[in-house]
Amino acid sequence: MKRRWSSLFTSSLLVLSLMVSACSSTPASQSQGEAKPAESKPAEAAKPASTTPADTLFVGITSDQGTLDPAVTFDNSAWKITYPTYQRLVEYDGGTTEVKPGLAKEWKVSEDGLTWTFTLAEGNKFSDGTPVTAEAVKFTFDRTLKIKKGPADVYSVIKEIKVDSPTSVTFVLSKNFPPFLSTLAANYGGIVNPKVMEKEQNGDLGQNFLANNTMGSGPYQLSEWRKGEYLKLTLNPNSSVKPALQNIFFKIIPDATAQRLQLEQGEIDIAEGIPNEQLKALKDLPNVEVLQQPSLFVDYIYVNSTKGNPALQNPKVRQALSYAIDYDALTESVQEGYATQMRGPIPKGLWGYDESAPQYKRDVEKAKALLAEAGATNLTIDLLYSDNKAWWETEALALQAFFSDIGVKLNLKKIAYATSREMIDKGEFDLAMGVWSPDFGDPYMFMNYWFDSVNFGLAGNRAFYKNDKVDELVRKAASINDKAEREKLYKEAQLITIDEAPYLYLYQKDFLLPVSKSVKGFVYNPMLEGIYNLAEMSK
Amino acid sequence: MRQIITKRLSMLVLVLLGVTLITFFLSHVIPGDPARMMVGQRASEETLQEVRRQLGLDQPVWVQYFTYMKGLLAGDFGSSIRTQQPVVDDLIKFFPATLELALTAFIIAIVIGIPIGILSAVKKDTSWDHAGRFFSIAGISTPVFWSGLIGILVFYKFFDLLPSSGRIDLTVTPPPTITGLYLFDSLITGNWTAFGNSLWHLALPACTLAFAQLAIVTRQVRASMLEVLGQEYIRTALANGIHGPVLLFRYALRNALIPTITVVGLSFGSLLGGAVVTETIFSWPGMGKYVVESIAFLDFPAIMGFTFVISFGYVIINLLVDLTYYALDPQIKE
Amino acid sequence: MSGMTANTESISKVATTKPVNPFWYKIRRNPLTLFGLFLLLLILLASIFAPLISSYDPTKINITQRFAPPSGDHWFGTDEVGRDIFTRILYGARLSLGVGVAVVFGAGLIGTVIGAISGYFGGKLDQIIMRLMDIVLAFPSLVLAMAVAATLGPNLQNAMLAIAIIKIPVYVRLARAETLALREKLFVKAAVTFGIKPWRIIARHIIPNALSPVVIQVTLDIGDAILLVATLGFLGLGAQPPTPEWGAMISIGWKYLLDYWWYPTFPGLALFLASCGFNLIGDGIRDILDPKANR
Repeated sequence: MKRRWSSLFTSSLLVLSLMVSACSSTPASQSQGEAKPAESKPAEAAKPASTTPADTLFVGITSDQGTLDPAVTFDNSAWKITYPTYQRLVEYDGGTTEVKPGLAKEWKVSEDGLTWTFTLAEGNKFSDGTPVTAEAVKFTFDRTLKIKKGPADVYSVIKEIKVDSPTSVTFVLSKNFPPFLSTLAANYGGIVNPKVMEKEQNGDLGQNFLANNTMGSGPYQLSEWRKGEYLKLTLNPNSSVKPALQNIFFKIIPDATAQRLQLEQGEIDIAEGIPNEQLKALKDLPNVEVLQQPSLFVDYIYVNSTKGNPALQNPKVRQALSYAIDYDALTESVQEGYATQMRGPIPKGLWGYDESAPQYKRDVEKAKALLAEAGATNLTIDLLYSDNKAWWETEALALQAFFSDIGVKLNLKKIAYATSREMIDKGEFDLAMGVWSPDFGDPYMFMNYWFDSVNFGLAGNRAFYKNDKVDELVRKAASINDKAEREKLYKEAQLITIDEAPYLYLYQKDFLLPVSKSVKGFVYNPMLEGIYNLAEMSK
Repeated sequence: MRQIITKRLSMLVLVLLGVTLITFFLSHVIPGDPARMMVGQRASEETLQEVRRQLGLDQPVWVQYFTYMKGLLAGDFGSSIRTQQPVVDDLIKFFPATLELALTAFIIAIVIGIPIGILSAVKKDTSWDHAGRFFSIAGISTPVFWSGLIGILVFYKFFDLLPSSGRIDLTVTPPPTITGLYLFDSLITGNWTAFGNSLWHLALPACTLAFAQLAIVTRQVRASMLEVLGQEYIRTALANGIHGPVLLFRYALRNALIPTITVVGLSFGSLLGGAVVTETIFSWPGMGKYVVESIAFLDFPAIMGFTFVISFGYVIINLLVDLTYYALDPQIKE
Repeated sequence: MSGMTANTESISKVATTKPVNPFWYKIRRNPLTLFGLFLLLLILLASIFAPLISSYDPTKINITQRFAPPSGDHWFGTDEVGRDIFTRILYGARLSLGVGVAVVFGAGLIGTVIGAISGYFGGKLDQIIMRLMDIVLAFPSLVLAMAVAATLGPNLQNAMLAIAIIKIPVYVRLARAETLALREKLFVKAAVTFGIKPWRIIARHIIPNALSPVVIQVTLDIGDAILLVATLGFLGLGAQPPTPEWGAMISIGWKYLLDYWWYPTFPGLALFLASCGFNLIGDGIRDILDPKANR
């Protein structure tokens, strides 16, 4: 017994020392390039190619993907994989928030807005060659509704889907919902190959399979996913679209510095994870450019209007906070100036934006006067935020300084992201930081979500703000199809909500993307942030 | 011997049970709701409840625990909430990368650490001793997140010698999976391209991790060497005219190595855990990165699976070390 | 910490007036330990006299002075909201040193008491305690600390608690092993026959005599604890802003490294020096106190 143990010991030591000698010789053999031809290869690969192959795009992303099932995922970062691998009935048109024909070449809506009929274009095929039919459309939405996860919520307005013919499908809605068409262009509107049912396990409707695979009719398909390393897209052989880029690698690089260095070295073509502060330095590089576009992504503060510090129930106190902020200094220090101050809830670039609406400006005297009128002297409030957005730390410090100028003490409470969401949902905060971006191109995304009192909590009305007049206006705007009339109602509601200031309207961020100068043809769409029009791009 | 093994094994089960219990309740006490993380922020209450029901989160915590343990006994770690994949599959994908990194770092630490330790002991209180000790102490005093970044700056940016991320180039086909350790697999299949490439990728992260562990080795080697060198038989050997390398290697080192291996073996567990930070910096596709992402998402089954595997590894190593002790020195009794 | 200064003051007195104490003699013969002592003293004095050394406020922001490079006005430059980094490092030293020392002393004290009780009474109690410690030891320590900090909420107190929890089992084991040996010693047996109550024996005879390995471990652990606090701070689970904690400073400054190198560099250097100081001293004390290490 004893002997066996010690011999085991010795032999394991031997193996160790063997591996060691192999290992310690590495650096030398790498730089010298050894005589053996087999070993000279890695030495060659050691020099990062200044240009990667022209038909292959390398995108640096910050974390691995979760599920890729369009009926399940609500995570924008997964959409950069799913969007080019599926097609939708309608698609966003270029860089606008309007839609254009996609799988459907035309559509009709009934007078009452309850019946939508789509006629499918012919010749679209899934990656296995199966044609896209009206059956597949019905299957997709029925599946989403049956799975009952996040996306089902968006389509809860669908009462029934009827297949009229192989190329015609009718949606019957339970109530008039003007943004319906826009929701079909979002990621969860991607049409899934009904053959996914062959992959079903334990009645999961293929969720397990689609979490790791794609089964759509888009120009690309997911061909390889090495967990924690990269995802690779290749062409859908049956698609009528013939893109220039044959292979796309989404390379997972969590550290921003590492990502930036790889972009500088030409190892990746697009770097998603580089914070704004570093972009100015990147602009000076010969082989990199930074794309800049206004976005619909807004950064704002929820002011708890019913459940937090009682002083905040007084609109005057909320106005005082709005007047305390130096908006230009804020965007400069937090976003390096790559941002635009908001005017009200609806951001610039979306219809319904009101450029004549009043805008808050820093006015310390006025803020102090408002506080005095409200009788809120020596006010101390908490600001809740998390590590979800890297710039929140700086933003919190800046707000703390602004508020101290008007005599309000701001305590910073930084907590875990998941926890912060829970607390926001329950209304356990005074002020909290948040960001918002629309899922479909309609002011409904801002006005109804943010202010309708049925949406208290995370659902959207995170300020727990209730005003009967505003409720009435936004609900009416959501029930009619006349765009001009809707715009008028939303503008009226906006004026009230700007004046009563249940949110501190900070800024809409610019979309910034550092890309290699060799990348051509990328079109940014504010509705599709983080998604690439790969089929039209080249290198 | 058999009795000891049986006794130790039953304790092992007890310890692992405790680990699952603590992890489970700790991770379920964290305020936050994975169902909400999953359905998106704007979902309605009904959808939220439905997803909670699908995930079994609507059950009382102890019911969830028993369901989980029942699965665990059958080798089922449940499904990850974030990736919707069985946790076992995810862990099998990520574990070899972590093991390869930790093992290489471990070996580097031993290879560099043992000579330094011997040198320190033999030349005690000289500047050799001081330099060696300072070097290893600098290692444990430097935060890994710091030395890793400096390494990337120097070797990737300035000298362009080593890669900054990943296990292998995207253009190099990894060896077929036998153990999942690229070095080992490519060696066995004779794939020198893959072997060289993965070794080249491994160099920087492994050295970073090894630097932080070096002091554990040098301290122990130095102490045991000093103890051995002070003993009667060494003095006798000296008196009999045996000097220099022969004495050092034939007599002293062999006896000093056994306690060293024990202490260092026990530190392997902490090395596995310490890989968490290293993996994040070097985009190393291992379990550390997986668990950090899972914690952010409150992915209970994934966190549980990770903790269980690491604890299991620790307990097994512990057991092996103890058994080696018994085997080497039958006099030791509890 | 004040104990440390008192001791060093006494060195010089001792050296001039009385015969040389062998302990100090050995320390003085060891330049590394002296260097560690020097480092710590430097950091300690700098943190104590921080308000005299620097006229800046460590938390007051000044947006017009963002990212100023090191200069005569700002020795280590300024950060992303214009605070003086040198000042923040000075004030941060109080925090990092204080926390490191407090955590390890706390863990050492609790661990020693538990270990002494466990070893003295033995039997079922001993079994339960040791299995509990095994469980804690079996956890990947950083993950346990992260879980505890995340559960209780990320702040400095909870980070300290988390680190203390993962440090306790080592002390329990050390103290228990010593106690098992001491229990067989004559003076303990005598105390038992005299009918002295167990608690008294543990407090008066066991713990004081079991302290030596604990002291060695404590000095070795402080450097590690400082790094752990910083690591939790780095992961966003430690001290909350605007507290000038080194780990948190590195965590934010890190993403500016390529453009404003001074921001993460100096807190990193401070962290390294402090941790190194404790480790050097710990190593030196171990060398002197540990009889095995001497020829």
